Amino acid sequence: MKFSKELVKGSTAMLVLSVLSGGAMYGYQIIKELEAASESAFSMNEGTLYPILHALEGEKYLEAFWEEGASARRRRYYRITEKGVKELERQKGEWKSFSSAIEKVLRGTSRYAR
Amino acid sequence: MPDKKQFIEEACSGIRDRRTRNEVAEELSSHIADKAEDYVLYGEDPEEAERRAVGDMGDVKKLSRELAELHSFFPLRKFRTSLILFLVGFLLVSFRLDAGWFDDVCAYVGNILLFVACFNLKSGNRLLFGAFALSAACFAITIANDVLFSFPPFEARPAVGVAIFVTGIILSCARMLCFGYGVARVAEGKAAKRVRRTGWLYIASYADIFLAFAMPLFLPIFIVIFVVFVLLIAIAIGRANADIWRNDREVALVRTGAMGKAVLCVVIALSVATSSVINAILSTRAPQYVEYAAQDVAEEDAVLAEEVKERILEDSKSDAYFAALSQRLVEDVAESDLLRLSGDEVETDVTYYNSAFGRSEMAVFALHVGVDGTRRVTALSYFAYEQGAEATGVFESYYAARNATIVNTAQYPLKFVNLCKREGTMYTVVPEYEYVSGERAGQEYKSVRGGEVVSGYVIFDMIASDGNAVGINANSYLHTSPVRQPYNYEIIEKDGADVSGWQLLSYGLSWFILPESAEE
Repeated sequence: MKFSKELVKGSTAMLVLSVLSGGAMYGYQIIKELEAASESAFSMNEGTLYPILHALEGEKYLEAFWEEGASARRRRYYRITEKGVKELERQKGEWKSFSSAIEKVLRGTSRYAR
Repeated sequence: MPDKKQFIEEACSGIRDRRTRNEVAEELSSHIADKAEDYVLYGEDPEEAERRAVGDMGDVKKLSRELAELHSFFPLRKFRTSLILFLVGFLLVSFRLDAGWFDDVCAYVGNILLFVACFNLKSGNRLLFGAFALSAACFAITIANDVLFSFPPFEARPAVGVAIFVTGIILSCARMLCFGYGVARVAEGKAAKRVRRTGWLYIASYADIFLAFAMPLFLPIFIVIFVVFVLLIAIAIGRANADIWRNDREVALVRTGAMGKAVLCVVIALSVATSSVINAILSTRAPQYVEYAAQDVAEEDAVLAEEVKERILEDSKSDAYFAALSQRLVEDVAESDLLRLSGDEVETDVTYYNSAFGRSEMAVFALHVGVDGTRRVTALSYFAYEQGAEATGVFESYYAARNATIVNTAQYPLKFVNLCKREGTMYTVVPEYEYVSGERAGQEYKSVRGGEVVSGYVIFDMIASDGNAVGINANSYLHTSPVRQPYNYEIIEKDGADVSGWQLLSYGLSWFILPESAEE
């Protein structure tokens, strides 16, 4: 199922942090992990990942380093920082509260709609 | 659809920092290559795989915008560098040590740094562009000053000097206002406060300099305030660096293109070359000291000498007459080789002294500070005295009162120089005494000094070497005794002949070079 851009946009940073909480990854790897973890629910334009990664790096939620792969091609890996872990926890909490509130409204609306 | 290279170039086109741009480009390239490899594994041919991988990256224009916005911290780095350059340049042009060529070098280098700093930031906003234009004008004024004061026409020099000075002040004030206010206005985002503070501090420190000139009595206070401002500017610049990783779009500057950098290099190279050429010419045109021969004196000068003598004898105090004599000195000095090649500062002083003991003098002094910092005093004097007149004390108090910073009569010896020849000599021979020529130097005079008969050699327009008495006419003595009290000259004999009565009338143009240690 494809979600609307607005829904995805607000949570992409949290999703990226969450993926990286499992270990350092490079950009393409993050895309593939995100797809796999969401069972292809989240499939973004891959170019849009990099502004998000760089923004998170700018906020010191991630740190980056270069590594040379098997094909002698350099890849930029990202690793979540302690600050990033705290931010992820905060966003998770926020998301849980948000989704819970949404759920409550939806359940309430359904009851009244009968 | 663009190919991989085009896509990456366009995506990174908005990133101003070259290093960052290269890194992001490599990252995107690596991503596309990885994606293309996967497509190849699925059976696509490499070209089609790469094309699809590029397509999967999405809208290149949107990506370019987002990357440019994120990576705009580069301008802040460049901005900070420019602020530092401006600060150093500002310090160099603000301080003068009265050290001749060193001051000129500082002003020159300072203007270069200010020009470079303003050049870097010229695209920030209109004010910063204005600062750039004004710094270019200030730079041009600095070069024009060197050129105009080194070559003819000399007659226009006073007017030109005033015009350059006034223009330079106006331009540098405007430059500082534009830069300071432009810096204050250009910053956006969370780091803006610190950047704005830098701009206002520049304006405040410049105002402080002006107040220091206007109220020299409080100079130490203004210097302290200036130092505090400079420290605050340095701290503000340093702290601006801490915001470099903020995710705000802090400064909007346009990258200086290759052409701009080339123009900058050419401008700086030309200005350095111009300055070097001027200084090389100046150094090869140093005045030659030529000794005068008595027969060089023109008839009209001899007549003038007689007129002066009669006037002094009559105790005339005609202002017009002495004004004419002083004007003559100023004109003669202005045409001399020495002043033409230096002339940084000229002060003239005209005075007339009439001694109650029958000595009368009129002297005009012009002080020049040469491009190499050498201080020269040109003096034209007319005086004559009666037998027994007390002359020396007059010189001491005269010099001490009027030119204390030039001559330290109590401590340092002065150098001997010869006269500098000019066209249509103005040096004359007093009919009674033929003493004006270097060839004739060394005629022995005897005098009573402090009750003792002493003798010495008259050296025309030379200065007494003991530093105690400064004689600028032929009746000065060269003597070696370290007498430090005023004493009287009474010339009684010249080469054995009695020369009492009106003894000497001297009239000449001379100057002497002061050693640096003579400065107060």
